Amino acid sequence: MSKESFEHLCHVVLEGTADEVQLEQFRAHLRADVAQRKAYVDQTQMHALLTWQQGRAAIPELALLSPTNVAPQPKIRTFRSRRTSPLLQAALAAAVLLMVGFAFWQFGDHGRKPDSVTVAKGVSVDILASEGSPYQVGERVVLEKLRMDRGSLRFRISSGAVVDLEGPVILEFVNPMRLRLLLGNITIDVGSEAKGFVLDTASALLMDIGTRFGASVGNDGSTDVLVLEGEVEVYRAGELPTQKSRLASLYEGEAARMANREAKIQRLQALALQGDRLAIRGLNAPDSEVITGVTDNIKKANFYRCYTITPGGMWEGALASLVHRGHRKLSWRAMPDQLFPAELEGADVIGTFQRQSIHQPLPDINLELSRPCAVYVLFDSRAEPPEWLRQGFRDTGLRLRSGPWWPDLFETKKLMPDANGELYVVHSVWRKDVPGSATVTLGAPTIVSEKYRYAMYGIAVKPL
Amino acid sequence: MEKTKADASGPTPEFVRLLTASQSAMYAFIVSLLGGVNDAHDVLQEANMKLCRKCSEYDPNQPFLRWAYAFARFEVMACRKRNQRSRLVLDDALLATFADELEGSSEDADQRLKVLETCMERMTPRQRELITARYGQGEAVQDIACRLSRSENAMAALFYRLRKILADCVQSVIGNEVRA
Repeated sequence: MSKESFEHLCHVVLEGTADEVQLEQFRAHLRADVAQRKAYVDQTQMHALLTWQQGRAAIPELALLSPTNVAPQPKIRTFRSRRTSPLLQAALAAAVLLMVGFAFWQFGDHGRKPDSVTVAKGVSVDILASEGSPYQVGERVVLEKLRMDRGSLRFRISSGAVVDLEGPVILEFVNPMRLRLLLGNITIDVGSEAKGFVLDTASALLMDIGTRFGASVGNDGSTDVLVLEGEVEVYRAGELPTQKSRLASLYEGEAARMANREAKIQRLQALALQGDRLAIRGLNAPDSEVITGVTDNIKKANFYRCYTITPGGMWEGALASLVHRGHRKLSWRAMPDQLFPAELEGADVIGTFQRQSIHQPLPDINLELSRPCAVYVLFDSRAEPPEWLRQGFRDTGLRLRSGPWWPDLFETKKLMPDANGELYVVHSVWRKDVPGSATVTLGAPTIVSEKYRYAMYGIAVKPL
Repeated sequence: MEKTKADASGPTPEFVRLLTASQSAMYAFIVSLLGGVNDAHDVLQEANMKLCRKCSEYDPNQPFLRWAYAFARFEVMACRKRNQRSRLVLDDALLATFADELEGSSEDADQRLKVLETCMERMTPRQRELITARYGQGEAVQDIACRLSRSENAMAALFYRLRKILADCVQSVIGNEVRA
């Protein structure tokens, strides 16, 4: 059997997916070859240590520590071993002491409960990333309430949900499946483990059906929610989540605002995202230095599609569109064998939504711009440019691709796969310079009356 | 049950320190014998409990980790017995081979974690990103492959190489420290 086969067998063994035949083959390797026995030890030991170091190996649940015991340590450590964390050492020591107490209780005098065993109050979280927060990567802490004026934090709750947040934020931990956001921004990824996760705010109850959403609570108590992947159900605040109290089901790429608990749910037309990951910026962070608003003229009941603004986010792989298609986002890519156009790099990107979710009439999009800038329209090069584009913009000659797309769409029916078998739409890059604060209106992406079967255009804006 | 005098006195602070410092090494030892992380936490907990009960039997002149490994090995065997209907990665002979080999290692209990951190810092940002996705965020290899438009086999092979790079680096750094 080849070396690759041993690697593959190692993979399925470590992932716990090996079947009996594979296990027997694997054991045969180990019996026959000293080198492969050493390789197995290396692989399992590193697998275990990385799991341990990165916080995914469970520490005894009784390791309870309050963050208030720890002095703020703004230093950012992407990889921090448990060994070098004094807090973790203390947590482990506490756990061992508690375990010792339990062992004595269990195996010794059953009539006397040890003093060292306490009941947990709060929710256990593992710190995954920290910048300017009082916590360190790799720590496990138990939180009841988190108030953070600045900095950012990513942690995993014991239910499996992963939370990203930025200061200023005030968050209460009700239980591992429920948080209460009092102020600030939060992005929650519940994955498959924490379906049904609930986020309460003053004006809404948000239930994550899976898998990722962002929410923001402003000083006025209003709540914005954007679904980044999967589905979220929005219920009236302060009521049990029932059919009667349900306000809307939001899907990927949809956003809404609840001004207060009595108000009607409203479509939120635009929301800003972080540049480096799929997380919202929310009410308390400036969306962009140049884009102050994105609106359209779609008037339709139960329509919640949202434009996303990613400040400075135009690079290879930038988000082009949130779509109802699961984990594979449409992104902007350089043409094959070409570099990403330098002219576009670092521009603010506006994620648009695709035709299948719009229906007639096709929208005009209004961009509110606060300073001199270049507005770029990334237009499907297969379509005939409409008059508003030809008259108001000039073709820069630059080309970009959006994708990868899916084969079962009108937009991709006649596309040929690239060398990797993926479908990409080529976009021509059109530019218009705006001399100062202004509203720029972009028209429908195709000529009126033509049956539209091309990709929606993308938008980028760069300050001059 | 009659308790020994030492049981009644309980573990010393030094014992707790040694046990705490040994957790990652014991976890890795258990994972190697089980062939994966499933059940590893439970086995570690059981081993910790037994170690605490038997703390009076520990001879401070002997390496703590080697003593702790013996308990962990016993708990792995007990776990295998409980799970005998499910698939076991190693047979008894292989398990004994690996256990003997690992028990004979004389490394500082948590030295490897410290060195691993150093080795991680030597990796490229791209490699660290992958490790974080897989081990920090718990993303499945299959999902990472899909996200990066790679085949699962290619991604599995890449992770195999990354773990090998780290293992080689850790051994090299520790070897240099010993020689120095």
